[in-house]
Amino acid sequence: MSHEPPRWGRRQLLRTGAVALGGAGVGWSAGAALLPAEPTASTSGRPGDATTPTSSAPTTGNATVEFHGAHQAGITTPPQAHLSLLGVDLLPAVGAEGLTRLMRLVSDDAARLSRGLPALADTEPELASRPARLSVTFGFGPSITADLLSNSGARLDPLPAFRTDRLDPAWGQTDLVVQICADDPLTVTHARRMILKDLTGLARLRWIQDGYRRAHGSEPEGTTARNVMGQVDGTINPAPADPDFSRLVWSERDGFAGGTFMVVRRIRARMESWDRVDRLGREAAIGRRLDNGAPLTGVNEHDQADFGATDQLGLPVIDPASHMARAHSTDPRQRILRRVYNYTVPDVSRPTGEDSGLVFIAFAADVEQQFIPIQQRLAELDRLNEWVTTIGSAVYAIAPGAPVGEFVGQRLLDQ
Amino acid sequence: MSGRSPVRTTLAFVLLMFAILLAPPAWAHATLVDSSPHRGERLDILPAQIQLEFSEEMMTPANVVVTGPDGSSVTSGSPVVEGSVVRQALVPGPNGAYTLAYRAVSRDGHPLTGEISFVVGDQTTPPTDAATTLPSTGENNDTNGSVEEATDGAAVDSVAAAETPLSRDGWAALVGALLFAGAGALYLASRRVRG
Repeated sequence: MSHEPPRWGRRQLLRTGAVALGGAGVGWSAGAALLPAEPTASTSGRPGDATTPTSSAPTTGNATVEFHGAHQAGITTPPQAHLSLLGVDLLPAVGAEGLTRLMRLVSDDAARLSRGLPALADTEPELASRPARLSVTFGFGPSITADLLSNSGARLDPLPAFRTDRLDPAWGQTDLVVQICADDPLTVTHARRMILKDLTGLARLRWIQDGYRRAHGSEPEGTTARNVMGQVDGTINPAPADPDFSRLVWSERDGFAGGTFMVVRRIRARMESWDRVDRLGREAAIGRRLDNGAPLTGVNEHDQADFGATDQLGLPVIDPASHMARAHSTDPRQRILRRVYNYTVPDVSRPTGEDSGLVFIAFAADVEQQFIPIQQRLAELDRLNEWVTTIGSAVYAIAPGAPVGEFVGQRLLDQ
Repeated sequence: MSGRSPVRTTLAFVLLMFAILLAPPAWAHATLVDSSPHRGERLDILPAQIQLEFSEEMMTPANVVVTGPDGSSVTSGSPVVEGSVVRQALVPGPNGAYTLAYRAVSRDGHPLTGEISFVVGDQTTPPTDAATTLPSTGENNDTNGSVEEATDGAAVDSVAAAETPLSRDGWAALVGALLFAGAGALYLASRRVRG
C-alpha cells in the first residue's frame, strides 16, 4: 500500500483553525450558559482566612457537657456539629421492667461517654477519649407514655396528620428516641454503637436520622445556622436568657417537672426544583434576605419584620404567603425551641446525587398549644411548600434530667 | 466569488449567533401577555373585575392592588389564580385615573411585578405609560433606600446594566459570537485556497 505523508497545505491549516475556533465557541457558550448569572458573595472570601495552624491543645475534643442535672443535656446545649437520632421500638415482650433495665444501661453508658470515659464493656475504649461536647438525650413516644408511664405528667398524643405531609412509615413514630450529638463525628458513631449494643434483647432500631451543621469553629459562636437550601434558618428562637424561656420549654406538669416534649419532622428539600428558583424567588418564598437573613423589610438579621409594610406599588414587601409570615404569630404561646440539623444522604438515582433536607427537631412544654397551630398554618399555605416535603413525623416526651446516681426516666418508671 | 461577500456573510453570522446566544435568559421567566383592562385603556365604567394573563401557569396566591383616583382601594376579596390567569373582583368606583399593581409568582418561584394604569370616564386623557413594567429588582426596601448596597443578585445586575454598555450575559454572548464568526471566516477562507 502506498504511504503518503499527511499534507498540511494552507487549505488544511485554515480548516483546522476553523474547527478549533468553532470548538472554542461551543465551549465558551456552554460555559457562559451554565455559570451562575449573579456573583455570589460567598466566593469572594475574606482576607486573613489563611490556614494558620491551630493550637496543639485539642480543646474541641476534650470539651464536655454535663450529663446529670435538672434537665437532660442536648436541649439548651448549643447545637453540636453532628447528630445521630435513633428511632427505637421495644421488643414485643418488653414491659415496664424491661424498659427500666434498658434505661439504666443506656443512661450509665451515656454518662460515662459524656465524660470521655469508655462505656461498660466498651469494645473500642480509645474512641471514647474525645467526648467533644457529647450529649445523649432520651425520649418516650406516645405508646410508652400511655402504657408504661400512665401515672406521670409525661402523657402526650401523637401528632395529627397535616395536609401537606407525605409521611413514610420508615421515618415514623417509634417507642423511644435517642438524640446523640457531638462536635466530633467519630464520637457520635462510637456512642451510637455502644447505645445500640445496650438495646440487644430489649429493643430494636427502626431508623437512624443523621444530621450536620457547620463544623465546630467554622463560624463565630452564635452565628445562626444555614440549611442545605442556603437560607439563614433559626433567627427567631427562644434563648435561655429570655424571661419566658422556662415557660416555653420546661414542663411544669406533676411528676414531669423539668421535662419537655420533642417534635421530630424529617423534611425533604426538593433540590432539583429549588435549583430553578432564582435569588428573588427564594427570598420572596421565605420573606428574608439570603445574604444575611434580615427580613425583607429590614437591614439586619435580628430586625423585627414589618408584616404591614408596602412598597411603592402598594404591594406587601413581605409576601403574606411567605414562610416567615405564615410561621409568625402574635400569640406569645406559639413559640418553639428549634434545634435543627441538615441531612444529606447520597442518592445516585437523583440528578443532584443526593437526598437532602432537614431533621427538624423542636422542643416545647406544650406541643398542642405551641407547635401544632404553627404547623397547621404552614400546611394551609406556605410558599416554601412548593420545594419541601415532610416525609417523617414523630413526637416524644423528653424525661426530666437524672440526678447523680439515678438513670433517665427513673422517677417516671417508679410510679 | 467577490472579495466582499465573505465579509457580509461573516457579519450576518456574527449577528445571528449574538442574537441566539443572548435570547435564552429572556425566556427563563413568565411574562404578562395580556390584561383587561389594557395599559392606558379608557373605559366607560369600572369593570366588575380585572384580569391578568401570563405566559405560563402561575402559583396561588397572587397579590393585586387596584387604587382609584382618590387613593382608595377598590378590590373586593382576594385575587383568584386559575392556571395562567389572575382575576381580581372590584367594587364600584368613581371616574378617574386608576392603577393596578400586581405581583404573581411563576412555577419557578420568581415573583413577577408590574403596574397597569387605566382611566374610567372621559374627563382626563390616559397617562403616558413610559415604564409600566418595573424591573424585577430586589424588594429590599431598607429605610436608607440604598438599593445599590443590596447584595441581591437581581439588584446588582440591574445597576450593572445601567453602568456598562452590555450586561454580563451580553458580553458572554458577544465573545461566543466572535469565536463562531472567526471559525466561519477561516472556513470560508479555506474554501478559496486550492488544496
